[in-house]
Amino acid sequence: MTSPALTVRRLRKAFGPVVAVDDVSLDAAPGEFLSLLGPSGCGKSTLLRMVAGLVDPDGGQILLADRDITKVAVHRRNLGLVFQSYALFPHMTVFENVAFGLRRRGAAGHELGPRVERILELVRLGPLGSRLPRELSGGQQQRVALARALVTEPGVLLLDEPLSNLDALLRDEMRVELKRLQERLGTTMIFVTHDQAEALILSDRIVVMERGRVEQVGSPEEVYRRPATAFVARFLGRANFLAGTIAESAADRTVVALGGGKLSVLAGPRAGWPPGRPVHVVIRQESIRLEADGAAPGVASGPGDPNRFAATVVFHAFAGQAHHYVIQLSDGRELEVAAPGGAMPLARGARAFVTWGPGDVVLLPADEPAPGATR
Amino acid sequence: MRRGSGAWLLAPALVILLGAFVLPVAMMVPTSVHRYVPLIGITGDLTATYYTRLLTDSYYLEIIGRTLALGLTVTLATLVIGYPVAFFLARTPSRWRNWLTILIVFPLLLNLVVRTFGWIALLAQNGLVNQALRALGLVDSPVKLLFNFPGLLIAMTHIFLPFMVLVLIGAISNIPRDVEDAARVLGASWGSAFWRITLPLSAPGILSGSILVFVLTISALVTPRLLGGPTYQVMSTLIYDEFLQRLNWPAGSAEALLLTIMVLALVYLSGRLARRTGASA
Repeated sequence: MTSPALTVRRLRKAFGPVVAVDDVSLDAAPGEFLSLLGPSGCGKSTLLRMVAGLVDPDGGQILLADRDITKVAVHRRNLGLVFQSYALFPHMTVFENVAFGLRRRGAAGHELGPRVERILELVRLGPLGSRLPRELSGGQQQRVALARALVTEPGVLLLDEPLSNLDALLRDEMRVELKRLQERLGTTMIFVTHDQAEALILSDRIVVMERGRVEQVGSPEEVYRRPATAFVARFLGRANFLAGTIAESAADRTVVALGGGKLSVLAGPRAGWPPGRPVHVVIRQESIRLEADGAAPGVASGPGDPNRFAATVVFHAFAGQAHHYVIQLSDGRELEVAAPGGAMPLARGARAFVTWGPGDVVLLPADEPAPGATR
Repeated sequence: MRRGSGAWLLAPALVILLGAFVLPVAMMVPTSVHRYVPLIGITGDLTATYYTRLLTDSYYLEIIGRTLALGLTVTLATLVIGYPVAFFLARTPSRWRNWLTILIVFPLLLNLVVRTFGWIALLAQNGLVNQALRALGLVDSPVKLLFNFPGLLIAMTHIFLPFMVLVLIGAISNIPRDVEDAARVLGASWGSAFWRITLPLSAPGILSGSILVFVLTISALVTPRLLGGPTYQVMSTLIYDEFLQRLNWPAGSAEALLLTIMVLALVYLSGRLARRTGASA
């Protein structure tokens, strides 16, 4: 196995009594797109700025391709950093902005021009080299910032919420562009964001952070489908949380009795979780199938299926890609359901059935802080 | 509400400007071209003599040159002393920052005459500065610091420093930290980032602070009068004497108009300079 492009070991930073980054360790493989995802104030930006050298860590180590850079001055780290504010030099042309890093590295005059031109071509800003930043649109400024950070061929490119200042349409466009640029150049990128959709789309792996700590590291699928903590389940996508206790723990299945005792949910096997243990049952909105009472026979489910419950629609809204429902089960508890936007909508008050597969059920220990309390 | 340019909001200021500035200055124009005869007063004869002697007579040229040199050196001194202070105050996260800023402004709250007399006590032959210099064995005989250029330079630098610092604090606070950080991550040392990014981006503040201090210096009256004495003249004291000692209003008018023109030309030129260079910041 090749050595990681970037390794962070037990990095720690406190601002007064507030611990911003608490013993965080992680590594990024060469060419990897790694996202640091979390709500504002979770320490992800501080972590990134420590890697960049703009914030001094209280403890821990930062290694760039096995070289310890913890004590190396900012300007000798050979990293790229893209800011949320772009931080372009307003008094310099686009060309000079991009050439800045090359000049500081003493690039020879004859190779400077071609290198700047090439990277400007790459971010599709070819003819705009003589413009000033203020004469560019937000998206174009963002691309200048990218070009400026990439032209020096940094060991690792750090991106601090680079797409947050763009409007929704442009953001989608830049996401694709960023991902393609990364695949093309093979640059290791550490991407800080609070936008879970952005992290899921772009990342090879996601580091979910909360209160200065790493909650979970994994591929987008892993953190989305198998959240390790209530916080992760809550932060990525919309999910229903149901409190219950394990009623039966078998080799092929787990049965959870929901609070109130009238209903029980079937989940996949969970070795070592004894009956009686309190748990959170987490079911994603879109994992729940909703069908009208009296729908044609032969569709998705029948009365004998597990996790099939009678329900009443209490709220419906159409959101383009999906129909959003709130449904009420027979014991009065409410669930949020997202159905594909193409499906026939059910009206408020309609009688229906909801089902979900045992594999879609995530069980989390209930001694976790209650969801919602974490935000 | 009536939709308009809102230009009427400028009316009160315009009236005052017209009545208190433009009119008196305009009235000096006819005065300045009449001959003054001692003991008789302003006569009907038209003459350009007060202008020609200002621009040819070495006595007046020396005063004009001295005034400009004083303005320039005081501006440079406040800039060199004030920039680091302003930079520190603009950037420090210290909770003492507001107190330190008040400390900078505090001298402005004291009466100008009081501050100037303070400088006389410090700079006189037997003043504190000379006593200290002799006690340290740095000089044998007292250094002359009153009624000459160094004395005026020292006192006026002190008096106008707060203006420079306040303007610069504003300008430096407006420079986003990210921009400097970006330069450093891109490989610029602290000094290089300062020289290539921070300093050019604070140019508009440097320019307006400099204009302010320069204009205040060349038109200051009290300090040059008290520290320069009756013989070490600058333009403002010359004008004062012309009007109130010699009662030669035509000559005083010509001199006042020249000073006004110099100030206006400076403001105009710096405005153009700002548009060409500093405006990008």
